[in-house]
Parts: sequence; structure tokens; C-alpha cells
Amino acid sequence: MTDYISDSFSDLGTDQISVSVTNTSTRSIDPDDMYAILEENDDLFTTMSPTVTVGGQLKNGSETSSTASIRGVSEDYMTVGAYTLSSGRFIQYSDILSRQKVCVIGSYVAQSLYFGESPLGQTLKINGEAYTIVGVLEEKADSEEGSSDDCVFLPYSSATKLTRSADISSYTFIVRDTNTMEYCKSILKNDLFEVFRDEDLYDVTSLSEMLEMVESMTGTMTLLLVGIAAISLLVAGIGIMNIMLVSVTERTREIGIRKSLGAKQHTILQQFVIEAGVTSAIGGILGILLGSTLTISLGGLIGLEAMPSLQWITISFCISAGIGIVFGYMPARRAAKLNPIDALRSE
Amino acid sequence: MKNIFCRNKILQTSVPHTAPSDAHRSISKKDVPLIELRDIYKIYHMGDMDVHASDGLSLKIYRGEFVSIVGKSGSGKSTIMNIIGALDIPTSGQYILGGQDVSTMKDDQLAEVRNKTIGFIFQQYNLLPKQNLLENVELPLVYAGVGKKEREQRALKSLEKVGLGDKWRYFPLQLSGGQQQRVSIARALVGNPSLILADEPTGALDSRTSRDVLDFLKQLHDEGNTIVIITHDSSIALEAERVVRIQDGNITFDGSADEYGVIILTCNLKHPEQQDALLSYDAWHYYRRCVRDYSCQPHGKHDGLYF
Repeated sequence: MTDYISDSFSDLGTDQISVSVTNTSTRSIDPDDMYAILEENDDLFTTMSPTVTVGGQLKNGSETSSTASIRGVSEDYMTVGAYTLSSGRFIQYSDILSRQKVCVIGSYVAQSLYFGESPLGQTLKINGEAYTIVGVLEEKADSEEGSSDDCVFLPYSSATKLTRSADISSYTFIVRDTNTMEYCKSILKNDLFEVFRDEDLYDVTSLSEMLEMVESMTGTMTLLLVGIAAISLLVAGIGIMNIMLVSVTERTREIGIRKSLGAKQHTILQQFVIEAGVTSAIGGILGILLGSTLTISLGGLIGLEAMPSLQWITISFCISAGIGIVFGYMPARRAAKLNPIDALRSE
Repeated sequence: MKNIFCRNKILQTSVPHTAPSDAHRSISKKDVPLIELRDIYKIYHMGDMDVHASDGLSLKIYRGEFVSIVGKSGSGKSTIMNIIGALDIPTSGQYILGGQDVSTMKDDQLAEVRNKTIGFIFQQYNLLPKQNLLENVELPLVYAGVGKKEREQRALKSLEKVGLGDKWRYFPLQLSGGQQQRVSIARALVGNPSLILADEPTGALDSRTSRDVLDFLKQLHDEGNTIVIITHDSSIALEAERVVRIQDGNITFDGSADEYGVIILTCNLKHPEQQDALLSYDAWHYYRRCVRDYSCQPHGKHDGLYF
């Protein structure tokens, strides 16, 4: 579970910082100001791109798609998102300056709307406006609907036309060294504060921060599962204790025989504790085998790559064996302390 | 001393003092006894009542003796057997077994005494059903800490002695009652105990196999073992050399089996004249004849012998 979530986030890049701003009539920031900040802190950031998210529908002839994420970006976005081209070119600075109606599409869009034909030079209609496809990206995820291959990039200057707002409110920075993340964030915050004089008008978050949030969420979930496991282990322990008590009662005569032949208390105690330990250890092994099989097969069924972790296997084995020993101890001590005369007399 | 309650009438037994002592081994009384019970009391609290299961009992048993302790149920013989067998300790009094004072020992020390000095033979054989004969016989040696190889050798030897050496792979429930009892005898012998304590060893057997078991015990006695049989059956008690009768937690008779036989015969005669005749001077010869017949007869003919 945790593995799955962390994985899906890591390909988004942990070196990104997203900045969102709310421009007002008196205080505002535009891409040029942002580029200025980038140049000032050349040693901290590698690159930056404004991002304009456009909601809408793609259309090629009669084929439509409404799941794709459509983003207006700068020419540097290929580095920001770590994309590679399979054919054509990416958006260029000149496209942005002259607000060219060009776009670069992801592999899923290419597959679903153009069915293997080369989409280069063809027209893609975004919310009714025609854009020329100049590049196709290499497959990055697995070309599924909603994945990072289901995307269209256009010059941010053209995208503002589609959103009908000249305002660009979102930027993505890439830091040189992820260890300086906190410092980079504070630099950005300072610069932005100088412009806006109000902390509510901008927000600086790193993806790693989001990742941490998600991790703490899955941590809570793991804790919940551990809680459930603990309760079931307790119940199992009481079950083992019961079985052992029954076993002691049933075998009272045997204990009597052994004691009459010279078995000491610790010998009997040892016998029963080992028996309980071995019984529950076997149970533990069976449980681990069953659990691992179920995790993998059920995980496969619901599309999660779930792997049993070695750490938890070890812990649960120790716990199950331990429970046998702990809960077997009490009945065993009772057995050891039995009076041989009474024990021999029992049927 | 020899006051015996019999049909509501006290019989003063006057067995001649010339009673043959050839049945007794020549035991020098100066020897240190193997078993010495001194003024043993065992008191159980049952609600408000104190039950004296053993009421100031004293007894000495020497090495090489073959003694039967006889008594009805509730007479306190089981209590005495538990104490002699180091399964229990007396409320007061001293019990010295092979020079050791057992009467104040703790549970684990008692276990060691049982393991080292006593071989038990039980009425219900008390074999472990899930282990084969060899493992069963080995058990006392396991607790004595004997190594596996020596253990197996000794256990096998012991099984051979009772004639079951070839059956060591069998499980107890695959055998007849008599064979199972032989296995339990093998188990009792395996640790070379100084005392063999048999609690109703024939109680669960038919008369024929009982005979075999008793003969085997006699053979063991002839080989020099000290044997104590606990029984409620006087005819079994007579198989020993010495009979100790227990009643109400104390000894009411302690003498040779021959003497005991006379008393039993006497008590089983219906008419007072017959009883008187038996107790006369000639009684002894009469009794001897009976005993001779008795020992020739298969066991069971005298099952009516009780008082």
C-alpha cells in the first residue's frame, strides 16, 4: 500500500516546488518577474515553468477525449517534468512569444485519437480551437487513461486564451539539490512576500511535502491495521491458552505418570511450554504462507502490487511463537504443580 | 497386638510361637531398614472434620523383604502407599527411605527420590499410550538424565527380562492386559530401584495372568529385590512373605504370611467350634496343609478368603 502510493508520487519528481499566486489589481506577479527570481537564484534552481491548467475536451474529427490534462507550459517544461520526445519538437520560446497555436501530445492521446497514424502536423481541437501538433512524447507511464501519458502541452501564452484569463497563477520550480528544499522554499517565500505583502496571496509547497502528507495518511492506516492485528493476536492467544488448558486437563494422567516416574516441575513445564511454542509457531508459518499468498493474489485482483514485507513476516512469526509461549506458560505451570497422586487418579 | 476384628467378635489368635520362620529371610534386626516409618500421621481436613488416614503408624521394612500391605478401602493403605512411594509426605512423623529423611522433602526432591529409588507398578499399568514400549520403559531413565544410547540398551534389556524384547516397537494398547503389566514391571525395573512398589498389581487382570505377574514378582524377590505390594485382597497378600494389615490408619497385624493365613482361615469358618479347633495346637499343621494345597492350586480358589 505504502509502496504503491510512494511509487506513484516519485515519478512526479520530488525536486519540484509549486508556487501558486493570487494576483490582485495592485499587487501581481507575471512570468517575467518569476524568471527574474529564477535568474537571481541560479545556484539554487535549475529551471522554472509557468503552468496553466486548462479544463476541456480534445477532438480529432469524431474522436473525443475529456480525460487528458491540458497544460500551458514554457519551453523548459520538458526538463521540469522529465519528459522525452518520441518525434517532432517540444514547445519553443518563439511559440510562446508569438502565441502559436501548437501543441505537444502524450503517447496515450496519440494512440487514442490518431490510432497509430503519425499525428505530427495534424490538427487537434482543444475546446473547439484548432492546434497543430508539433511533437509526440515518449511513453512515460503505461499509456493508460488518466496517466501521465494522457496529456497535452501548449505554450502558456496560448493557454491563457483558452482559460480566458491573462492571469498566470501557477509556477513550477526545480531545485538543484533536494537537500536544500527548505531553504529554496524560504527564498521563494521571501521574494513573494516582497511583492504581495500578504501571506494569504501565495502558497509555496514542495511535492516531497505532499508525499510526506500521504505517507502520514498511509501510516495512520497501517496503524489501524496493526491495531486490528493486535486484537486478533490477543484473541488467538486466549484461544491457545484455552487449548493448552484443555490439553493439560486431558493429559492430567500422563502428567501424573511422568511425575511418579521422577519428572520434576521444570521438566513438565518445559515440555508443555515447548509444545505450545511449537504449535503456535506452526500456526504462524501457515498464517504467513496464507497471508502472503492472499496479499499477492488479492492485490493483483484489485490492481495493486502488494508485497508482504520481510520485516512484518519476521515480527508476526515472533509474535505468534511468543504468544504460544506466553499463553502456554500458565497452563504449563498448572500442569507442573499438579499433585502426582491426584493426577494419577484422574481419568 | 494381634487383635483382629472378625464378625463382631474378637479372636485372640494363638498361633504357636514355633511358627516357622523359614519363610522369613534371616534378617538381622541390626540392619538398617530400607524403609522406616516412625509415628506417621496423615490428617485430611474434610470440612469441619479431621480424617486420620494414618494414625501414628510405625513400620520397618528391610532390604530383600517381600511385604504385602493389606487393607480394605478406606483403611488408610493408599495413604501409606503414597507416603512409602514418596508421592506424598506425612502431616507429622518421620519417613526414612534408604537413609534419607523423605518426610520433609519438597516436590522436586520427592521426584528425584521416586526416580532413583522406587519402581512403581500400578493397577492400571499407567503406560503412555502414544509412545511405544521402548519409549515407555525408557522414561524413568530420561528423567534420571541417562544418555540416549545407554537408555535404549537398558530399556531393551528390561523388556527382554519380562519377555517382551521382540515387541519393543508395539504400542501399549496393542497388548493384552497381562503384557501391559509386564511392560510396567520392566519400566519399574529399568532404573535398578532399591524398592519395587506395586499398587494392586493384579487388580485389573484375570486370575491366570494375575498368577503370572505374582510369580514374576516372586522371581524378582528371589533375585534379591525388595518388593512391597499394596492390596485389598488377602489371597494376594498371602503371596508375600510378610503381611502388614492396616485398619483405620494403623497396623492391626504384622507377621508372616503363614500366620496371616491361619487367621483368615479361622475367620472364614462358620462355626465357633471349628474356629476353636483351628486355633488349637493342631491348627498349625492343618493350616500348613491348607497352604500347601493353596500354593499348588491355581490362584482364585481362595478368592473367598477375606475378613
